[in-house]
Formats: sequence, C-alpha cells, structure tokens
Amino acid sequence: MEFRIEKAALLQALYYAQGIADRKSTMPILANVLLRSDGPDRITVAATDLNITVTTELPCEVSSEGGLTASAKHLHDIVKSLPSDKLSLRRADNNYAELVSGKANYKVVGLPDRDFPKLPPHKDVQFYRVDGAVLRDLIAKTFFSISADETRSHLNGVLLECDGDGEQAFARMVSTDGHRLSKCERPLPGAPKLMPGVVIPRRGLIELRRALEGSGGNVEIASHNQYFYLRTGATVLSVRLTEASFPPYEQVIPRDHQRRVVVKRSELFDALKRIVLVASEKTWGVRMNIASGQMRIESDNPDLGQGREELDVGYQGVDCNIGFNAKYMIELLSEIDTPEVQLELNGDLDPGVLRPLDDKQGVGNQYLGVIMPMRL
Amino acid sequence: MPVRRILHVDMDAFFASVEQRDRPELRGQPVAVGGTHRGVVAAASYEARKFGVRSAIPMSRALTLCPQLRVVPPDFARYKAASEQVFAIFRQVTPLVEPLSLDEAYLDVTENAWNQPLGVEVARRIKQEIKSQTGLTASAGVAPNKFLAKIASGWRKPDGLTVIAPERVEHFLTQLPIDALWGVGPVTAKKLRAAGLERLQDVRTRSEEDLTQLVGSFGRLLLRLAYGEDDRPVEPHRERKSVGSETTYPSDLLDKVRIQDEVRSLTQECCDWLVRHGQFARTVTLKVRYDNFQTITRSESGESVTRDPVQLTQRAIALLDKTSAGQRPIRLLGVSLHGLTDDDQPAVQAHARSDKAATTGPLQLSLPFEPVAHPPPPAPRRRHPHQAE
Repeated sequence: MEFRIEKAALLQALYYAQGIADRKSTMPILANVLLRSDGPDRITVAATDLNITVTTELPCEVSSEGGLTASAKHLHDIVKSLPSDKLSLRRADNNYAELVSGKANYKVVGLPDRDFPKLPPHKDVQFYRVDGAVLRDLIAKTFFSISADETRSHLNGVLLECDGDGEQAFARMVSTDGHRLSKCERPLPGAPKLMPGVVIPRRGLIELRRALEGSGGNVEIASHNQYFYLRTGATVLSVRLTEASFPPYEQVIPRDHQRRVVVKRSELFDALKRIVLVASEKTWGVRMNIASGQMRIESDNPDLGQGREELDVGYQGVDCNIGFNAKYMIELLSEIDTPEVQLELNGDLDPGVLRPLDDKQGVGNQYLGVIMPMRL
Repeated sequence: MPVRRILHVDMDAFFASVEQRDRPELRGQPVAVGGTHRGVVAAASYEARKFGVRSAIPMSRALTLCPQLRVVPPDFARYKAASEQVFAIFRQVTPLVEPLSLDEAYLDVTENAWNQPLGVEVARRIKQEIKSQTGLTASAGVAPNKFLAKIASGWRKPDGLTVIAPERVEHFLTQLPIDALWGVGPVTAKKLRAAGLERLQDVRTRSEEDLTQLVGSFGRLLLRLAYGEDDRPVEPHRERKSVGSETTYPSDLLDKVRIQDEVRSLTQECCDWLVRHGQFARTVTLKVRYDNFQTITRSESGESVTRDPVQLTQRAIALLDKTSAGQRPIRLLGVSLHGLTDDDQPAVQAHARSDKAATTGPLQLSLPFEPVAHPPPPAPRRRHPHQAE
C-alpha cells in the first residue's frame, strides 16, 4: 500500500484517531490507527476502542492499494512535525509504515491491517441532517446526572428519544443516577424517529460532545443496529449503544405538586454556591426552610461551621422544611438560563422538581430536574 | 428459629439461553459458549447437553462429542444485562438476596413484598416474571434452608420448581448420594466413599471427630447437613473473598517476556476490579498450568493491603521465579488477589466506622423507581469462578 496526501488533512484525521485509539487495552492493535485505501483516490483513516470508532475519508493519490496500521499517537506526532505540506506513506516489509516527506524518512512499527477489528458499517445507513447545537445543548443539560456507578450499566448513559415528524420533530435526553434525574426536550427538525429510544454510554457522549464542538452547525446522525452515528464532514463517529434498557423514567417525575416556589435563578445559584462551602463534603446536604415570601437555606457542619442565606421568593402557603444535596441543585441551575426558576414540592421526603420558569415550556421543548430530598 | 422459606433460583443454561434468545438461528441447536480454540465450555444449551457437552469441559472435547456444536464466543455485557434484570426481579420481592454468581441466588422469602405466605407461590411468580421480562427460564428450589433449596433447584431442570416442605425433609434426605452436596467435589466424595459413606444419611453414623479427620473442618458442617440442619442466613452483602482472572492460551507459552506480559495484564484486570469496587488486597496468588496439565499455585502476602497495580504486578511477576516458567511450556496462567478489604488502614478505619454507626447522618433518598435495580457484583472479564475460602 502506498499513497501521497496533504499533510494538513491527514494530520486532522490522525488527531481524531489518536483521541479514540486505546493505548491501555490488552489488544495492542487498538492503539493503532488503520489506514486503508478505498479506491484509487481515497483512503479511510480509522481508530477504535471497540466501543467508539472514528473513521475519516480523505482524498489522496493511491499508487498501490492495501492497508496498514501503526501507533496512532506516534504517527500523529511524526506527521505533525514533518517539514513539507505533502507526504507519502507506504507499507514496508514487516508491517512497517514508512513516511517520506521532503528529506525526512521515518519508519514506524506496525501490525497487519487484516487484524484490525471490523469497523461498524455506516455506508448503507441512512443519515439525517440536524442542528448540532441542539444535540450539544441536550448533552450539556443531562450529562451531569449520569450515574458514576459502573455496576449499573443501564444508568451509565443518557437515554435519547426522538419523536414527531419533519419540522415538528423533537429530541429528548434523560439521565439519572438513582438520586436525581434530568430530562430535556428540544425541537430538532429533520430528526429520525427514535421510539423506543437508545442509551448512549457516558464515554460515547464525551466523544460526541467533542465532535459536536468542532463541527459548528449542521451535522448528520443515524441510529442503526446497536450503533449511534454522527457524521461531521468526512468524519463519522460511531458509538456502540448500551444494551441494557433505561428505567421507565416517567414514573418518577411527579405529575403534580402541593407547593410551588418561584425564585430568581442567580440568587438561588449564588446562595447555594456560597453555602456549599460550609456543607459536609460527604453529603453536601443543606436545609431549606420555605415560608410565605421567603426561603432560608442553612448548613451546619460540626467540623467547619455554619452558614445561612435568606432569599425573597414567590410562595404562599404553609411553612415547610426540606433537605437537599446542594451540588445537585447547583449542577442543574448552572444549565438553566431563564431569569427565574420554579421549585415544585410535595412532602419533605417526596421528589422535588426544579425547572426554568418559561412560557414556552411544553411537550417538545422543556427542561426539568427531579431531585430526591435528603432525610436530615 | 421459626421455619424459614428459602428459595434457590438458578437460570437454565444461562449464557447459552441468552444467545439462543438473541439469535433465533441458534434455537433448537446444540450451543456452547466459550473460546473456540483450546478454551473450555462456559455454558452448554440443553440440546448440547444431550451429547454430553457440559460446562468446564475443554471445547475440543465438546466438539468431539458433538461435531455439529455451534460454538459462540462469550459476550459478558449481554449476560450481565440479563442478570441485572433477573436480580431486579428478586429484589422486588425481598431485599434478602444473596448472589452466588450472575445466574444464581438465594432468596429468603419468609417475608416478601407480595405478602405471599407460600414459598412455592413466590417461586412460581418469580419464574413467571423472569420469563415475561427476559424471555429466559429458571429453575427454583423451595426449602426451609439454603442447602436443601440448592439441591431442590437442581432436582428438575430446565424450568423446574421443586419444593421440599419441612415435613418431607427427612424423606428427601434418604435419597441423596453423598456428592449431591454443594462443597463435596470429586476429591471429597472419593474420600467419603473410601470410608464407606455412600449416602448423605450414612454420615450420621460417624462422630464429628471421625469426619473431621476425614475431610477437615468441613466435617462439622457435613454432619449438620446430614440431619438436614442448615441455619446459615441468606446474606445479601456477603463479602467477596477473592478476585481472579485466568486464561488458557491458544498455544503454549515458553517466552519469559511474553509470560510476564500476560501476568501483567491479568493482574491489571484484577486491579481494575479492586478500584471499581473500592477494595484493597493483601495476597497475590499465581496459578500456572503446564502443558501436561500439572497445575501449581504460588502465593505471597504483603504486610499491608494495596491496590497499586505496579506493586501487585511486581509481586505477581516475582512469583514466576518460583515456577518453571520459561523452561516448561505453560498452557494456562491465572492471577488472583485475596485478603480483600475495603479500607487500607484497618485498625483506624474500624474505629471510625463504629463512630459513624452511632450518629445517624443525613441520608440521600433514592428516586422511587420500581423495581429498585441493584445488579449483582459484576465479574471481571475472563473470570474464573473462585470459591470463597
């Protein structure tokens, strides 16, 4: 195999590849990037950790067809520092990858390309063009409440559902760690129908987020046969979906509430960020006392001291006391961008709902967090 | 102690059944899950068992017994997902669930969420739930204690349900051969048979001292079991005593560097497990099986506990010097870690823990999902089912 290619294009593809290639795996070939010709004028550059795969198709001049694999990191680092704008790469004896650029000549240890894992097939999959910024927003608004407990694989990811047709289509992401739940719905015209939804694992979301950040506006997505695909330009990211099913989340979102508290987002956010400084580092528990027109937040930590914050709120009704993990509220509030938020409560041991106060909230466009209280 | 109602639920040919469920072309076919070349059978479908294919026999032998055997490489992620569903059903019924492995558990249903007084009804409903939620079948045993429940579940398989009512225990015991007991393997059985003990009931004719001489500390439990007595509770949080990983290689290993690499990666897998489960280990054990199947183990205990992969790997590799690695071909390598604990400074921590128990701190509540899913502890890849010591 031998081809000649623009350095900048190859470098970009190698950059994606070395982010995915798995150097810690017990399968040495996973640390490698695969370069395989795809006709006389294209190559595919691919890397995988078996769960996440990135492939980029690049134009180039192929003088002999075939494939090679070599350490993704080393190839990237060498190509990056090559002197001229063009380079040739060929497979030499014993699977070496030989690079020539100007007067520089390098040989990198490789492994046969036939040993490289099979790439998730995306050639025949139908892709749908959607707004990447919406996907990014959905991920940001749900990512923080994914469970970190690796023994609960069904909660180690985000549920993605898409419903509605054409211009009315919307996407929904839900995550929960068993103590809290975030749900976000946004219009996503052009989205494919995904009901029931798919569970995208945490690691995959990190890579999707990274790819979306670099992509700007329109991207293409697809979900097919246990994989979720994101195409940005010539690069396709494939994420293997979690096979376990997501719990029935609707059943833990309270349908109604006895108490409704309206409060300025920034005031609540700032007060919580201060009071968490004296909260227990194990539980982050704070006590909220809500009375007509006023909310008091207190923390009492025998090792450190006490704190108290008072806020003016819109609330009429009987006093109530309830404990919450302040971190859960802070993480949710930092993703809300309306001037006011609404806290909906029932009993002091029942789930609370925090959501932006926004006229436009409704099916297809809403954001909410369910937080279980703490027994203090 | 009032009469308990203990269930032992055992999934039928679990890995193979999951494969047959997910791959319709395998249904009705003899299926074995395991490595294709030189590996062992991890699970065999009932169709394969008709040919004598059993768990733990070498795959090569399985293929001789049943040439049309469909060999499927294991996919533990899918088995774990199915296992989680099954355990979620168990925990819906009672919090007293003691996992024995991914596909097997004891349940104490003396009191249960369905307020069902009859253990057999609970078992029937659990079997139905498993069938409807996962499409898989399980066999269940219902008895007044763990040891009888376990024997009962194996009485009729697959899709069986066997009840040993308290008044039937004595009758049941008379039928049992000595090796029906969990914990009596071929070696112990041979010793007992040599001493003239064929049936479990025969054990009653001997004194505890005699039995202890014969089979060591197991003698005491053996005598109790012979009378059908077993008051071991169902322990939902029984601590794991060891973690291990082992591999049979496609071709024998002779190169010392390669062997060291393999030991390193096996140790790393165990360390990953320690980190995931917040555990530390004191003892490293290396297992080596030579090409003639002779198997040896070498152990080393540290002064303190650790989960540092560098340290543990060094210790495991140092143990290679006590073997003939590099001189004799090696067929199998295994690394296991023992003396597990969840604190790295036992004395201090024990004190702190008792303090914590005295004051009830704030408690984070959980979202009211039904059922509350708590999967069983996962097994590291290529796990060897270590028996707790």
